[in-house]
Amino acid sequence: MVRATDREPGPLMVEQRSFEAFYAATYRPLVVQLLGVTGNLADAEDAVQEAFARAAVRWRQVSGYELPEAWVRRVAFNLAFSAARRSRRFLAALARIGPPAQMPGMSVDDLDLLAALGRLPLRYREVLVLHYLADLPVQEIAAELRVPPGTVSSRLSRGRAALGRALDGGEETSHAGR
Amino acid sequence: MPDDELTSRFEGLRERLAPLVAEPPIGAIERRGRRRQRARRAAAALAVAAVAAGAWMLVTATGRGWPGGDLEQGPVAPPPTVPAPAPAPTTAPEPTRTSREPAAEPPSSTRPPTTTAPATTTTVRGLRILEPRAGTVVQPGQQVRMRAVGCPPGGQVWFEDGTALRAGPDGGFTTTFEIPPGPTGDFFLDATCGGATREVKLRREP
Repeated sequence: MVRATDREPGPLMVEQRSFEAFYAATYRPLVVQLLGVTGNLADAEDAVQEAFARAAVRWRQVSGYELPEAWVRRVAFNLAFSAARRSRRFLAALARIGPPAQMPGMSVDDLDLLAALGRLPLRYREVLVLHYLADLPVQEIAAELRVPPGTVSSRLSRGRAALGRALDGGEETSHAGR
Repeated sequence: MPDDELTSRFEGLRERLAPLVAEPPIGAIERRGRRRQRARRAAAALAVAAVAAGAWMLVTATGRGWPGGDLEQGPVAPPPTVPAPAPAPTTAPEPTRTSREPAAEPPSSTRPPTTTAPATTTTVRGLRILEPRAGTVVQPGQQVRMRAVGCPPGGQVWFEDGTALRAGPDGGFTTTFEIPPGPTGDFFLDATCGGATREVKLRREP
């Protein structure tokens, strides 16, 4: 007699385990990367969870990609950008009149860095996050964003300069989206 | 700011932030995905049912005026050269075109034979939709203007909802669609002229 535990896992079970392992390995790093884009932990978590929910229902297809993580990140970034565009005016008003976002456990330096990132245009924010938080080299960023490597280098350089100015207290307003 | 300093600040941020992120149970994520998929399927089924019902009403209405219907009404119109086909069901309700420019075409549910349409005998230079731009966010009820070029001058332009207009002498046209209610997500507008069809993908938001 063969007990359930003695059986070889079926394809569905393997698929399920594979998604679980992928989720466990990539969820937190992706939320941290999205936080660099949204500047808000709740929004970052929501975008990443929605991206994973979309990946879950088409995992057979997504798992066949060379970099499933890049797919989830792309979806999460797009969701975050759409939300940012919709609420840009609201957020700008909130930034002027409202208190800073509450994120227990974060240092003043971290909050400053996130606030400075939040003042950059989305296209700069995106490459800075991919380069510094996702640890991707220029070539991989270019492949993920489908732009020439020169464009990534240029955005990285300008974004770095703008971030430096924003950290020094200069004003850098988000104006162009992507 | 030097690159090294920026790198170390981001590394610090990453290390301090990761433990703060609470990982929800995977079951919750999967349920969210399934809920979303069910909602999309239900919306698509509803849209198909609505289109099918519309097609049935269209066929019923067209059949009323044919010969052999009511002989007491006197002479009847000759039958159309092509029987009215039912529009192919699509996954989303079709937008309503509310205005036609530059020249209006009488509403018809039947496309005329292509041999009589001068437009189809002219070489198409390349239909190109200039407006709206792909990815534009639209809301239900919103009027969206479509502007295109590259049709045969004066040729007929068809839309998926069965309506038509004539392109201007320069091969261009402008018209307006009303976005119907429906689920959030991708939404397509298209136009056909001279055998070429182009579509533009928009995003419908509630």
